[in-house]
Amino acid sequence: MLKKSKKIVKKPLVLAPPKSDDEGGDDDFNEKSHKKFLDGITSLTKTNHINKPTRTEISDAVGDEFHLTKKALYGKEAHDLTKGILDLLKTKSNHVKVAKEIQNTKRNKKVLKKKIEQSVSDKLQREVAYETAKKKLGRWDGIVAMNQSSEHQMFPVELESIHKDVLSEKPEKTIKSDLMEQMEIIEAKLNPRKPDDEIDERNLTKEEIIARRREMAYLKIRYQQKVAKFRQQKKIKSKNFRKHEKRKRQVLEKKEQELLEKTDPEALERKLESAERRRVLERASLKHKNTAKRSKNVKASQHNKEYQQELADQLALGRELTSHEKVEDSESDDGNDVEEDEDYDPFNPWVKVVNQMDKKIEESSANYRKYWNERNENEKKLDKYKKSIENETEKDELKNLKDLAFKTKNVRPDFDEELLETSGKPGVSGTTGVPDIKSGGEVSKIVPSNVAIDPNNFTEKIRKPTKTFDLKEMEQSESEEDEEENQRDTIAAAFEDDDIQADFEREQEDRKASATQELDLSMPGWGSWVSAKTINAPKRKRIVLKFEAEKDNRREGNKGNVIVNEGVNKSLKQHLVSDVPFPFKSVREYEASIRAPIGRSFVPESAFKALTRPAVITKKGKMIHAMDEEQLLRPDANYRRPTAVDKRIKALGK
Amino acid sequence: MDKRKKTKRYLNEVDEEQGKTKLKTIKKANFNGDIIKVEMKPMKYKKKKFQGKIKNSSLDPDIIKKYSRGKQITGKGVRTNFFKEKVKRKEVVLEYATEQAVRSEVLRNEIEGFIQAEDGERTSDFRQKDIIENVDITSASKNFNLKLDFGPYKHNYTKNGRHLLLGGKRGHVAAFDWIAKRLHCEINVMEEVTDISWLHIETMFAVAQKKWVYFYDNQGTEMHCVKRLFDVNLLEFLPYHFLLAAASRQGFLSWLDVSIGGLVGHYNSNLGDIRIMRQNPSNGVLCVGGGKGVVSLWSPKEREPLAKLLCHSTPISSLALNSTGQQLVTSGLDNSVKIWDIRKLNGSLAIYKFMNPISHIDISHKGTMAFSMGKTCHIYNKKLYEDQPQIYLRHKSDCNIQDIGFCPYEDVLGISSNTGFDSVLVPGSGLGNFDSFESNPFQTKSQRRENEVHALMEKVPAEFISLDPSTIAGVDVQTLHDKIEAKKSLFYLKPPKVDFKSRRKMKGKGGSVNAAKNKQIAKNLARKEFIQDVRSKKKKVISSHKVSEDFIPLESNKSSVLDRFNKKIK
Repeated sequence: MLKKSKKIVKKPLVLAPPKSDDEGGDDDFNEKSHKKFLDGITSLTKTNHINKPTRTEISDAVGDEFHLTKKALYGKEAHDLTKGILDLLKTKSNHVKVAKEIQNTKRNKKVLKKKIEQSVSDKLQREVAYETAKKKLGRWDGIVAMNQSSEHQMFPVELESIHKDVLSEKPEKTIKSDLMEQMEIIEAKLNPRKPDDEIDERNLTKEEIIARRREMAYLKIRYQQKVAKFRQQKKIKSKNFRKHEKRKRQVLEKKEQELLEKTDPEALERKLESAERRRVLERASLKHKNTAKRSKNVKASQHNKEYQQELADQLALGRELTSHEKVEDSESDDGNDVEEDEDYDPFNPWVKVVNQMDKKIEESSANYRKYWNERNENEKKLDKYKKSIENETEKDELKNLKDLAFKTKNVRPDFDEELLETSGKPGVSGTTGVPDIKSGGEVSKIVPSNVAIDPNNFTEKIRKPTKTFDLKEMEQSESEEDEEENQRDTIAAAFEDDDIQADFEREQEDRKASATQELDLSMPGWGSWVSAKTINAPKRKRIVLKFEAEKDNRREGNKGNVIVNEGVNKSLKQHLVSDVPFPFKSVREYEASIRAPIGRSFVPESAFKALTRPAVITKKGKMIHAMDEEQLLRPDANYRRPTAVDKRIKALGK
Repeated sequence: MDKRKKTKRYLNEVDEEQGKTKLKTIKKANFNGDIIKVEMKPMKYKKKKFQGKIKNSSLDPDIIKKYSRGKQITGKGVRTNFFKEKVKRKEVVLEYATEQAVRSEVLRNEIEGFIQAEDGERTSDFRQKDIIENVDITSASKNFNLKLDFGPYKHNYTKNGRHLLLGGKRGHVAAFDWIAKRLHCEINVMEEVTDISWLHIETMFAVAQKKWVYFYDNQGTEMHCVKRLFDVNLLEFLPYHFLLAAASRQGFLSWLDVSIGGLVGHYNSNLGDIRIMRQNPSNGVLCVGGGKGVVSLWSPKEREPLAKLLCHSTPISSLALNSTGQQLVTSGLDNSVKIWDIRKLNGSLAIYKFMNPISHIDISHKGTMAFSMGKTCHIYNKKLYEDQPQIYLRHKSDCNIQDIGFCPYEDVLGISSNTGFDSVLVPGSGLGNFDSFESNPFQTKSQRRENEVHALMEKVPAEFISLDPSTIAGVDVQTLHDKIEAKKSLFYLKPPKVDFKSRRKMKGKGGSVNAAKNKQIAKNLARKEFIQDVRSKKKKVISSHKVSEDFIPLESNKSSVLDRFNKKIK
């Protein structure tokens, strides 16, 4: 292989004599030796010349110093190249080894594939990126479609509820007061928790958990052992043991005291003080009432009455002092007090209390035992009584066994009964009260007419005959006749006029006539002239434009005694819609869509709310964030929670 | 004795069970083992599922019909699936609304009270005295009689029936809360009073006086005088349109918008002296009864009557409409009363023959009709035209009756005569269930104010007054058709001929050749302009009818700079 020759060549100066071959003439010019020679000369000058750059790596085309080839060698081509080299190497015996190596590598090593062109690889990369992006975005398709078609949406979306850390957040309304919280903090300081407790097991690995559990188990056993030991020790009644123990304790205490004396005399003082205090309290209690040395002495000196009396007084005093008494404030008592005690000041609460106490204490101490005895007896009696009653009832139950059997009859009322929701029909309620007396007048018999009329359908196929009722008789029977009224009658008769009907009809006809027209366009003389040759003159066409009276489109009702001015309401037109707006294709459908009012005064309140609810509900002053991936898990997070009304509407829709 | 077993009911059964305990058989009595009490869980009753759809059998189909809003959308005429779904969803909610309304009908189960006669008695025999004796004290206090001296009276109740306005021909005007008997004001306008009317609230009323129409507040202060309403005979207030309609002695009909103070319509009806006029409460059309037996229907924006109905062969003496605006009752001097379906406008539904001509008619909310003739007033119960009618009540006034009118939401008929005003009890005539959002007899001041604002905001424009008020919920098909035709015709237009006349020029300046050339140029120019104009308009039409594309197409029709690199198809 070729070697880098960038380094400066330094060779010992050897001025080799020109070889004998060269002597022969110019023809035998030895290039190599000449070069050597030149080098030698140059080294004489002791200046370092930099050699020309030479290739060190293989190139497919020899003489590619100037990087003219664009192709990089990969794959098969590279293989081919090695083949050429091998051929070359095989020619010489000393290169055989190298050639073998090359062949081995050629066999074992895989050749890298040819690198794709930049533009192609870019394209591929783009393709892949597009696919992944499409897939990512595709996840949102469902949610987007749902949101587009949903009725109402609420923002901001509250997704935090999934992983909400309830403990860290301070609730708005606290159950604990501030004081309680403060107390807790102080308590926590006083008895600090072990740090072990706070370690959350969830954060540990399996091994750690096992180790922890083992440790806990060990501690528990140790604890139980200790407890058992102490319990045993506690039961020991040997005086020697106790003495021993006591001594042990005293020694320990003494040691501590000594230590404290040196280090902290103040603490020692406090300790001694507290010990003294404990002793006093102990002595003050009634524990040692009989066991004290003095009381033992009393027992010994039973006959010494004086001493006994003294002791009894002392005990009574002790009892008095230790017993708790309630202060009673009945007025009658107060009155007595005033009589008894002259120094008594009714406004001094302290005096009052003391006075009462003196009396009460004596009474209560005497009655106390009595009361308890009675009570205990009563309770015993009560228990007995109860037991006896129970026995009796049990016997009864055995007798009347059927009472316990399940009642087969259902005693519950039937709640499932449907509510009666129909209101009374209008026909039934009102008219029934009026008695139906048929008078013999000119009452014509008629099929009961249905008065509910569709306002759009004015044409009626069957004209119902009018009912006529004569009320004269009834009136006559009821009202006494006046002369004045009679007079009116004659006046009315005089007014009655047949012309009125005729006038009306005439007016109607006038309106109709104005509609028909005819226009004669024929020209006089035109087409009447003919040449001599024409024998059969074509019959002249009379050109008449007939504006036929528009087909009588007037509604049926517009013909008898009615004139309806159709095609009016021009002023209303400016308020009307003259286009069919976007989602609608037909006029009828659009009209149907606006047929029903949605206002509060026309529909029930709940329906009004459902009809006018905004499509997007936002909270004031709250930021609305863009959707994030959390929402993929809860696609319906921004929908309103369905109310009872919503559920019913939904049920209707199905 | 009745040996048949009584049907056991829940309560009976319990009583019997507790009463006696049967003795057990020996086998059971000797039972000697443990007794385990087992408490049974109460049986869970399966709730019946709500059936959905209004086909629900528990609902009365008649009531469903009452509340239904007509045919639903089929969805065929709606364009995309998205909108189809949306429209259907709305339909479901509307269905729910209907159903909810039907269900709430259960709450309205009161039956209005009315007089029921025993055998051999007639309700018409009862006089007011008898009725008062048998009703509670508050109802009894609603019967009263006012003796007034200022000539023939007219009266008017407010929409909620709480306040009453009296107007005597000789200038006496009095406004008062007639239930509490509290007088708002009493004045004499010192002029002839022809008619009176409350406006939208009880603090204002209009009085048609000898010459003009005056407005007063409820303290009797004159607020306004409308001189354009002159010689007015009759006043009628349309509460939903805020229009005060007036009919004059010259035959003029005028509509004054009291919210903006302008005349909405004012023209001569050519009917002569108008003496009978009522409004149709359902659509606001005025019904005017004429001397020729014709009832004509008028709206403010049409100078021609919307319809004319020949009712009687004699002059019409009075007319009235029911509260729903479905029926028209007319009376003529031919002693007859006719009932018409005013929506259909064809033959009469029923004819009644009376002894005397009827001078005044009124119909209550519940459909009770009152007819007055001379001094007497006859009241007929509802559904007059279905059966042989019976007089329900009769009332005789002291003098000739001049005006009758039922009080809304009360069982009271107001009768004003020459010598005063009678408030007469007519049990069962008034509507018991009032909608307090609509008109509340127990309205407070703040409620009244709120209501006024609401009413003003929901004011119906005067143009909407037409025979069929539902036309506003429709499409103007005629105009739509015209528009489509116009678009179509755009494609077949010819360039117009241009008649170009060149300016006469001085001799030698422009010869006939030049003139001809100029003419040609002008013609061409005009044609070009026309063609360009038409082309642009056509393009607009086409573009507006194109289906909009939601996405940006990859290969757009727009030419781009890079188009030259495209392969050319040979």
